[in-house]
Amino acid sequence: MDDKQEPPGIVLTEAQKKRQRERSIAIALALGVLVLLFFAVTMVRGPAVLVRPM
Amino acid sequence: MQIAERISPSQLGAYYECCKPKVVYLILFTAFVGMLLSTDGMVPLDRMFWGLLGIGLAAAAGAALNHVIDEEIDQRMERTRSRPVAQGILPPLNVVMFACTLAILSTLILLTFVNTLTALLTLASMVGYAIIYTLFLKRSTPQNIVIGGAAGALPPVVAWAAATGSLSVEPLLLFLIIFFWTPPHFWALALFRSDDYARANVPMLPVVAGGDATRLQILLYTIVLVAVAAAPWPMGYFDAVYGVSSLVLGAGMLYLAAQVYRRREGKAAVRAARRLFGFSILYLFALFAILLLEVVVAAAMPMLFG
Repeated sequence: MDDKQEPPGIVLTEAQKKRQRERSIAIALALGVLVLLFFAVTMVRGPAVLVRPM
Repeated sequence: MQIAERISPSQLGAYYECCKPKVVYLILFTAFVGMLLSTDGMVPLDRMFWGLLGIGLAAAAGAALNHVIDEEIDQRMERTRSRPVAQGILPPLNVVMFACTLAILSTLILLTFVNTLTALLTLASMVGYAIIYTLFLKRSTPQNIVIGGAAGALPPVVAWAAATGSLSVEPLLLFLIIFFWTPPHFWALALFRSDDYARANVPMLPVVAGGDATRLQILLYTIVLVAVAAAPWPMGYFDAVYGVSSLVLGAGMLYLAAQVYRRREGKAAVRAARRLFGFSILYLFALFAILLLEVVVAAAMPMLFG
């Protein structure tokens, strides 16, 4: 993005920083769960699941 | 890790809001039509029930993840600042666990009662929306909604896979219609909400490239959309009733997109963008409703006239 459009900078309060950390951990957890889910589904029926007649 | 011992009724409502119910219902509607088109006779009811339940749960999970990931953006935008996570009513970790539970439930249901292809496609569209679109594309490129639109266009494809266990040309045509519909729809919204997006530092096209470039893109995408939406008729996939109505509805879209292109200043410009945005929702709904009606009429005809 264009640098000129950056707002004058947002300074986070301690409470906001804590919330940001919590959110980052939460998103990381969600990603982990989704990776595991994908792995599990692919393993259940084998990777050949995507070889389908059109 | 703290989890509240009890969930109050207001929190229950907040969890429901996190699922973006209106979006989920529109997704389920397009999925329902995709499912009905897939077979000549009736789709087995149990398959339809479990398929739609799985797709709905995954869409709700994606919406809930979006609320967590977008907390800060939502707080800075007029349109979204009252969302429960942005307001601090629900802790992000709890909402993520709620979303993961819905995603796991959806996958288990689709694996057990439908088929693996459907489970994988559903997971892919959820990850496409919540992770690829929300976490990366939305924040980094003005083409965010073009690429992200692919995730939103998948439900009829997924539903087709659920009903038949395979894929074919028709669901891909439905995919293309939603795919080309998304940019004019969202850019019309972004035109009259561009201050909001600029404040939240989201690089929507009007913020980055300006209103004029956005208006041109809206017009070009609308022309492609009308062509793509009518194409299944000459190609022989959908019949003349669909073809003619799609052209009539398309003329409406084109007229409104041309108005957006011509009116660039002041209240007239805002009004034109709002009208296109409103009509675009009706347009997509009507196209799918016509397909649905045709299936219903085709099924009822032999019963009525033997």
